[in-house]
Amino acid sequence: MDVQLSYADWLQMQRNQPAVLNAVFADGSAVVFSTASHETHCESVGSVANSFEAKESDFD
Amino acid sequence: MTDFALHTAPFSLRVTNYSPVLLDALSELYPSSLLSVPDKDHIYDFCLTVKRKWAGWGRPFHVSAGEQHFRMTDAAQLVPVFEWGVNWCIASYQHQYLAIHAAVLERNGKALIMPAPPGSGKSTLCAVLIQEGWRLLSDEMCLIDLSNGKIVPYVRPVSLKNQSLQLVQQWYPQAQIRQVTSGTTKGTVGYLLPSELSWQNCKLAAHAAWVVFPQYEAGARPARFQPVCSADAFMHLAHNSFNYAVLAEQGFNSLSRLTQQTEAYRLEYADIEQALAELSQL
Repeated sequence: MDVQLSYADWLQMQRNQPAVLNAVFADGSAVVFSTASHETHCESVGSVANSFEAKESDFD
Repeated sequence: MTDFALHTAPFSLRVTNYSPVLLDALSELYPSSLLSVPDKDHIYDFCLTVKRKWAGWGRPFHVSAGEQHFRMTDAAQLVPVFEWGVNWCIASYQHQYLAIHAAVLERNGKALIMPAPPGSGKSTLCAVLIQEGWRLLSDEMCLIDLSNGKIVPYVRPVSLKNQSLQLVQQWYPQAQIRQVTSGTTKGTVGYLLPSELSWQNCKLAAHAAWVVFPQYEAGARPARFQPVCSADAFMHLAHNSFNYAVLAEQGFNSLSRLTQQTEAYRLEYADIEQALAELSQL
């Protein structure tokens, strides 16, 4: 964060910021990050077999 | 009181120490060049205090960072509690790097990241790969430079627990395991010394090439080594990160770049030789 920014400039910057950030990977899968809530989730599943779904609890 | 400083790049640590044996014990684990008398003019990244608390006769040593309590321990378990205390400092307070709970090793200039929860066999696999000539960057903490995406080494002794101690020593009689402590909250804990190669290159960053999620599963079935889709790899890396949420957009961008530049796999294994055979194909 730029501490030199005035509050008005900072507010303007927040308004101009995209609501979400996307990352699309080479296998076609994608993730999305919400700049408002800071939550991340899978947008789509890629072409590679997903061996994690049955193992989700391993990472809890 | 024997205060000391521990310089394990990229962090320096100052320890206010009231234990008569801790420094000698750590001298078995770290090269003497990394331990020194504290310099009053140096600004340390972290300051730990190991102090006697006379109110707690059962566990008389208190490990803390400033006003933040970490743990009480008896003298016999001070080394593992100190090592965990250092991990706790890094995991809790450093945010200049994206930190993922993972082992990182390098071979031919390419880094292998193995994120995993406790019990997955990560440290055992890490110890074996070191003995097979891979360079250790870290057994515990994958530190990603936010500016260039490279993996920054954080070389420290590898923590092995319970059966892993005997197995690694049995497979590799030359492996140097020190400071074995029984009766800790994690059972018996000992520390495998990193190779000379690892210590000598403890400031040499590496380019990430692979992410492998290991899972040890007892049984005789053959090892399974399967690709993982990038989005899933991303989510599991984020889930294993200490500070992804703190870094917000920076964390997302950094992890996106890491995921884009790496191939991700899941490795399920019961036999260490089969696991090694799979990893040697990388």
